[in-house]
Amino acid sequence: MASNTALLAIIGDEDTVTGFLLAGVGNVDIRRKTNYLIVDNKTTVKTIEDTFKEFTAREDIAIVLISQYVANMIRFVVDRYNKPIPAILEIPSKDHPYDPSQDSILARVKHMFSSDPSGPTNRY
Amino acid sequence: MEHDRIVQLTEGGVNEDSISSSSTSSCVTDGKGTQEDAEILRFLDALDHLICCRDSLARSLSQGWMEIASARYSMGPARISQALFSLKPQSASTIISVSETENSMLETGPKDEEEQVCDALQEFQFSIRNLDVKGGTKIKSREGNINSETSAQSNLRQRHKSGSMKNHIVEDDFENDDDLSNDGDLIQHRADSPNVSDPLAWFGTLVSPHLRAAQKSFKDALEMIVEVATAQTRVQRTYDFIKESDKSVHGADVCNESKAEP
Repeated sequence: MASNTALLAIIGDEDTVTGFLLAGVGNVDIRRKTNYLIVDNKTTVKTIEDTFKEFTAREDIAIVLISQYVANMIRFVVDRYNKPIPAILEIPSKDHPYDPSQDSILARVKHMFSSDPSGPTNRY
Repeated sequence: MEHDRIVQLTEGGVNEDSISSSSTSSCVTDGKGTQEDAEILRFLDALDHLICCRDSLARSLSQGWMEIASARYSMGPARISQALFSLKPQSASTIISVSETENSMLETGPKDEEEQVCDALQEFQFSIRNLDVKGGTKIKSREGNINSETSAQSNLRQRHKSGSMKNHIVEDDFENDDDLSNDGDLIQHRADSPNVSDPLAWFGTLVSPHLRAAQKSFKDALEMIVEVATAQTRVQRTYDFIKESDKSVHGADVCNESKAEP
């Protein structure tokens, strides 16, 4: 069994990121690149998408936490991602409770139990 | 799954070759059927575990947000804000350990092409590793946590037998991570250690107890997150396996039908 260590990255609202940084997951490298992005009303979708792509391309990240309402903004990118590492986890945020029907993994496996063969792309 | 057997048995010209090949394929399909059933059970089990973990995660996060809101109310909005985050180069004190689990599914029976395809479907297990103040690491996972706790207890019992009670208490205080964050001197000690600092210090030396409670809630949430991640990769892997085997069965049916037609 091979084992190695990696970081956890977060894309979410201020309180969620603050909480996880308090838990000790924050990492700043010598170029001042962080492993988190705080999304507020000034953050553009382009920034979120670029950060998501950057985190999923980094080899030192094992899990990317993303608030579900943020993931909904870049749903086409999140749904297209299918690598096991880093794992993408959609988490609830303070103002938006978790909706399993919007989760990319659960939506992918949901149509296995239903008679609808169209798959997760049908929900748009 | 029985379909290819039925197709072969209903063929017009039945000879010895076809009978022997049909019996061999029936054995193979039975084996595959059992394996597929086992994978479906594993899939449902993983899905159930994932949903349970999601509930626990949502509870921990809600608690954490409530504590942060309380801390912000007592300390003031300016005292808990992203402007206070440290941007000095620093390492994360909590990191994720990723281990690739052995694929027990592939150990049974000889490998054919379909199973070789499934070799690409890996299953990973995530666990939390806390960088200790003393430079050591603590691994926290559902199984690992129990093991480390029991081993720590056994070590402490040995010290208790040989050493004094005072030493035991001091060592116990150092072992307990929550107690570390409650002591102002130890926060300073953590800040002095290279590249690893306690994020509570960003918000001042005397912070609200609600902020400490929020820190604990989010640490609990992190433990649930690694469980969710492990369950999610298991769901993904078993789902991919079932989908692949469905495709291969469907492909075999199409081949048999095309052979039967002329």
